[in-house]
Amino acid sequence: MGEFKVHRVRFFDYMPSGIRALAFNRGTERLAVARDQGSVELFNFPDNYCQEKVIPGRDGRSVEALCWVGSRLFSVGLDGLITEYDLDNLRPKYTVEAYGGPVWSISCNLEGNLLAVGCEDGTVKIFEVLDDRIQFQRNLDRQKGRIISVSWHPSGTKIAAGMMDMIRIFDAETGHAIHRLLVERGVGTAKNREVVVWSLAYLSDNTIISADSAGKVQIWDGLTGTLIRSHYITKWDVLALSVAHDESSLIAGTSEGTVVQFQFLSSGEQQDKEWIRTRTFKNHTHDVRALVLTDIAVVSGGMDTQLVVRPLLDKVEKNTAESALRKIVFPFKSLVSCAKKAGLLLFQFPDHLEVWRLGESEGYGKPGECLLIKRKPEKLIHLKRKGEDHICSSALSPCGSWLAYSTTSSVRLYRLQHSGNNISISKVSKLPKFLCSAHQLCFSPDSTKLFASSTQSSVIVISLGQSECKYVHTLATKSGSRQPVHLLAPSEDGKWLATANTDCEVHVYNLNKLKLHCTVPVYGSCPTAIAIHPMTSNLVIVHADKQVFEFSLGQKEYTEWSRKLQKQGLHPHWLERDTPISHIFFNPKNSNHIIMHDVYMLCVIDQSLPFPDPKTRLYNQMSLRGLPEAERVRHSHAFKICKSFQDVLSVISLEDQSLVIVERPLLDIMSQLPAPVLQKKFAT
Amino acid sequence: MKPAVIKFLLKLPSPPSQVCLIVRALETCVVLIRIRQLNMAGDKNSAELNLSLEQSDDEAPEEMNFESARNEALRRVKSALETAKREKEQLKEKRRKRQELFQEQKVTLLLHLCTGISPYAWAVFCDDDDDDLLNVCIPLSLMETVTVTTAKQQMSYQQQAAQNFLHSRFYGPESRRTTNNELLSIQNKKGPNKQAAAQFVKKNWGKWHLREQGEKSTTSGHKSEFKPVTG
Repeated sequence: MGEFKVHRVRFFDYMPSGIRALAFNRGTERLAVARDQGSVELFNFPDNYCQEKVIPGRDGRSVEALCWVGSRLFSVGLDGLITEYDLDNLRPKYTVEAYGGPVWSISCNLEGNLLAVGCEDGTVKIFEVLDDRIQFQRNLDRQKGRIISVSWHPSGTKIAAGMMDMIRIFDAETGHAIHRLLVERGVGTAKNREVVVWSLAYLSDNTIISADSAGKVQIWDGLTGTLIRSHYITKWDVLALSVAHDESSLIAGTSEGTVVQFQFLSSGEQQDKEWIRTRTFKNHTHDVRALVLTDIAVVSGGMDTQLVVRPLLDKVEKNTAESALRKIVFPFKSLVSCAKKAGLLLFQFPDHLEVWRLGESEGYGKPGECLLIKRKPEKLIHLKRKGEDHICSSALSPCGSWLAYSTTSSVRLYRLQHSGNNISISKVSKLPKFLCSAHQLCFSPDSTKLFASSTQSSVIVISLGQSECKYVHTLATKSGSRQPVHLLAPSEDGKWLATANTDCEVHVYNLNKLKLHCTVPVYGSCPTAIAIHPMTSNLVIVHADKQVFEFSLGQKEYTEWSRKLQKQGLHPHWLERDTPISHIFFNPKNSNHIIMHDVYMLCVIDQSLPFPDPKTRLYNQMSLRGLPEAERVRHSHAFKICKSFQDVLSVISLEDQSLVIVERPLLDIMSQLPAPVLQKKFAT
Repeated sequence: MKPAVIKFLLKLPSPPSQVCLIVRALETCVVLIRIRQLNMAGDKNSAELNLSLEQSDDEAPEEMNFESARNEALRRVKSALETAKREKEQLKEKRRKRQELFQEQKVTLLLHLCTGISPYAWAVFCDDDDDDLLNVCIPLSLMETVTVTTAKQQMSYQQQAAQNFLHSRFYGPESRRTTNNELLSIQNKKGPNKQAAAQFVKKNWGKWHLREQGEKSTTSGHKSEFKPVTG
């Protein structure tokens, strides 16, 4: 296979942010996820739950709730603003002041022309959705107490609002409150505390479902304003509710981390239908704050920062990849950059960047051994970002002399000077003015150019020099796509630049002529990693559905090897992996090797070996080691997978052919999460 | 005479010998001065008056005409105002001098800090174009009492109140929460491979062996909090 010296790095203190809100768009099948730090992520559900886009947060911006109106995404927060997002350019399009204090919730009517927001000052405000903006229409009758949750009746004539100790039903046309439903407080000491109605759902048969902080899910009759049934499901708060589109089932999320399902069934032949508690899912360790019930799965997220997709076994085929539980823990976008020649690592945080120098080891060892360290890794620079927008992308040049980062409002470039053991940093002040934001940044291998992914799927090329940095060219596509370029891969010889955008397009530009060289035929899945082989100039592309392609830049067509692989098909275990490949690189000692990794494995694909038979084992490295030499050759196949490293954020190869594996053990993340609820378990 | 305090006396003239003078001050107040009641120690006129009083106790007091009395009162008011003004100027001057001193101190502190970069201490950079602190390397070893903070946008009190409400509902005194350590230790105890409650964060991971010193120093590569669980 190959022997590599590995720098195992665990000093990247990456902390994911808790999930605050979820919203699913049934039409486009995209899930929007809002995090505590204010960022919004978009997941493409049909395409293997690929994390397509990330809109970075901002200091002071808070997101309490999300709402889709058609293909437009809106959010509200405690800063009192209603924000619409530009999903092509990954930034807020505009914000509208609600003038009601902090805004707790937002809900759209069935027709998609009106938005109701629940405010701190006790008003439910109605906004009209126009083509390019929203406009305040009117307030409903002001109440005494904050409005925590709102829900439209599907007809659009009534609105239910959850407050402290009560639920109000409003007539949407007149704005007057029709009913007041009093919610019972908790027992014992909880009687002194107001009960908060965290979430509501208004069904078309005029039933209202409420979830409150006393641990109950209550079913109300919206016409008479009376309580039908109370279900006590937890001792803590029930924080979130989600009703299926056909209104036959609903789910409730609790502070214990459980998700309880209710279904509208009749308990006997002659009986009426009623809401009956059916399943309980325990997939979280901390509070579940947001839920979505799609047609086939329960999607939940909360304070333990993991997005869990639990397919419902009565809706999908059992024992298939489709029915497997999915936990999305790490971001798809790489937060680690490496100066391969200088042995420096750059870590990206939302509010600052860190530059570390790798340690040095000595001696040799057998595979699996730890080597002695003669110099510890050390942190060289801690650079705080300027302004309030969070950092969305960053890069370090291979020589270690240039550092760049971008927010949604600015791009900054710095020069690093190394003098012996010391390092100093100075800002490059004059950058081309139109370079105001970059979704992705990348330096060329010879550190003379900076590539910045910009609007309309274009890439801006900037040349770096001692005295000044000049704009060179904007590489644009002819396809007219407006989606952002999320992958940039320059070739080692500086001749080519491969780009991939979220419209699943892969373009290759000739950097000497500064124009488009070729476009890879569009494949229906989003590319998750691309790289150009230094010797053969073949472009290797891996997609979210785990397919691997190799495209020859010289011949502008798929290579023979790639066609053979497509014909045979990839091994089922390869296709069942649930995390995307995030990096591809090559072995300078062996041009047949393509090395790639995902969160749980490192794989060396040897193009000179045969493909694995679908019926044989894919993960056969351990068994091969036990066989004698002669036998090994017979059983070897092209996909050599190593699973020694877990929770891997990034794998980078250095110039001296050693590997840097940046791990972030889940245990380390978990020990720094907010406090979970106290659950007394028997015999502990 | 006390310049800053001018007592106001408003009394109807009953004895015929008293002369009540009404003097309109520079601002809006009306000062009624009873010549007889004023203590004019240290004043020339008062000295004169006293002398004149001492000289002849039996005689009637000297009559001052209206003009001189009015001028006297005006002069006194003017001098009071002038003293007040002078004091104000003095305070202003004092404040200005103090501000200058602070500015000077700030500059000398900056100069003092920019002397060199320690090789084993990482430097904190504040990326701020608009200030004098352009691209300054501040070595941590010299920073004893200086703290550098960025001015954050003030959150509105309403937003803060809303966040406090959320925090009190989730983590307030009645929230019945525990620690992550506790949660992990229970998982350890109940898991398929039952382990001790305490050992879930490997502190010995990444032991550095330093060649020169020939001794083992245990520094782990991560900084998680860890408390052994008892009971």
